[in-house]
Amino acid sequence: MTRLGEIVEASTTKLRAVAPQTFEGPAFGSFIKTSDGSRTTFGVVAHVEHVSIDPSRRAIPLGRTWDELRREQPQILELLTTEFEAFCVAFAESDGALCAYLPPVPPRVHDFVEPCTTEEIVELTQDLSFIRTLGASGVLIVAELVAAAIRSAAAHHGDQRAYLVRAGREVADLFRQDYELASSIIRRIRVPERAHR
Amino acid sequence: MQVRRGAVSTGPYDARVLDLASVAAQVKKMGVGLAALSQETAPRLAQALVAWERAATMGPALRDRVAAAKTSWLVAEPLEELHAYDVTPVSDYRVLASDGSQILPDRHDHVPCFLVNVGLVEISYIEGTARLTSTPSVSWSPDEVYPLVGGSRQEADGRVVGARRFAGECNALKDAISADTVALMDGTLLLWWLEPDPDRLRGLHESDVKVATFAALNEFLGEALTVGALVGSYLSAPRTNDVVSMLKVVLCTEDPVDCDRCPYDSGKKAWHAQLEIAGASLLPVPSKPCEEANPVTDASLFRSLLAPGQRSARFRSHAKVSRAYDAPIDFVYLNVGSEISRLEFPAWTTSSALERLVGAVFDQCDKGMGYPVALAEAHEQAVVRAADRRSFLELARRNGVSRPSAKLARKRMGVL
Repeated sequence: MTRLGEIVEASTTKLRAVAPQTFEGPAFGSFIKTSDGSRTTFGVVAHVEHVSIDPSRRAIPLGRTWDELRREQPQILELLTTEFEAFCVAFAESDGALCAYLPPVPPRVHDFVEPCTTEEIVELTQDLSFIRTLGASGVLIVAELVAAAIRSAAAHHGDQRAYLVRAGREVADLFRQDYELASSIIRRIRVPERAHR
Repeated sequence: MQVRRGAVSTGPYDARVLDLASVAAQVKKMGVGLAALSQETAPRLAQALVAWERAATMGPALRDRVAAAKTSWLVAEPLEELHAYDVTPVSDYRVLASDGSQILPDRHDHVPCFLVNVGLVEISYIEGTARLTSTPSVSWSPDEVYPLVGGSRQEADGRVVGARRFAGECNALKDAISADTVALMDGTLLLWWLEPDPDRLRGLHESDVKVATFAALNEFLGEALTVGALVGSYLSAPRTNDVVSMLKVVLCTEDPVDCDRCPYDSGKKAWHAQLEIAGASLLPVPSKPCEEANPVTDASLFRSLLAPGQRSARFRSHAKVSRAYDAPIDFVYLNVGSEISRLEFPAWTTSSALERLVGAVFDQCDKGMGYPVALAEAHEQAVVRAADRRSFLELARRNGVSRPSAKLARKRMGVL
């Protein structure tokens, strides 16, 4: 089991977790899961940050490279932490099928966060309902988040190009009232031109 | 009950906040006064420096004069020639530092216990690793909250909890040290605040807080000697003056120095102050030669004598309390750039070990922007913040061990 982090705050819409190693958090837009033994909640990483573990102490510029810091100030790495937030997009009861909507109760604090397997991501993203959920998350960078999630999902589907085209249509349909948003998402998931290879 | 009618809004507005306007006026006055005081202290420092020059040329005679002196103040014994010593910073070492913090028993919260939190930091600049930990311990048994202190039972107060905390810091270091480790503590190794007269420790039970605290320090220092670790206790902004007291022995006109037979006190001789500023009013005029160096501290003396990166000569403390120790306590002053600090260490520290210890402390101060980084982080590990204190009290309440007094409950209501 690859452990991505441990939950320190959780609600029915999102969770916050601390990565086991500083600077080794999950990728923005990647799919994660957490299980409390009976229910597994799935989410999409919406924010990753490197911060001081103590809110009353800030990091300051030290004018040294990380190699020098590891040698001269090895305690600094212990005083920094990598934290991330993920939006809940789906859940599954231990014996039930996947439900592509928010869980009835939040994941537990101190439960571990793991990456989703390819099978889980394919199952989770087949029907594209995560796009609607993330679109309604209210984050300021909703276009970036939705696009990153679509790209990360596409990487696990057999025919990436077909998946991206399908996701692009879904975006155009879901956000038809907001042309700017729809086009900025589609720009961010566009398949690189093959001619440029 | 008598009700006073029409009394509302008739009196002056009486805000229940600190009257900052009044405080500001007093602080302004204090600033002017302190500037004048430092002007008046300048000639005293000059006298101390003259005495220092004289002491430096005395050679072995200085030690003899100091050893023969019977003074009412604590006099440092010089162990090296009196001059500034350059220090070469050391960069390949392993440092351990411990520092503690506490939650005191609270009568109004009816919390019949106290908490000591000891932070321990281990940084290796050889491997580039760091380990930061803290260990809390809650003491609640009758023997702990109502302990034997100097032979009689008393409620655990700030001094008792401070002693427990000091012992905790010693134990944490004792368990972690190994050969060639630099072990740092914060504050003085001299436990005068716990028991200034070691003779009074005799005959006390081994569970007595005073005996147990001295034992913890002796065991830690003994273990350090056995495994070959270096021990230093770091005092930022020291207010000590045992070196200036040594200079008073030099300034005294009598031989041997004997405060009990001071001819100036008895009126046999009269002293005319040497360098006084006309109109000076804040410091009393010296009435005997030794008062010429009042109120100079060791730190202000060494600010004039040490350049950044230098240490003073090594001195031995003759604090009475050190007689309770297995070995005397020595010290040096350091100019770490941002300030003059004092480093205390056991007398068994060899001169080459002292060079390594002081070199490591300079490197620590350099890395910690003026204060040893390992001690600063040990403090951060140990510190009990207001929020932690609230959580602790809440835990105590949830577990049914606390019931706030009526006075505290009323204060917390926050109602008009």
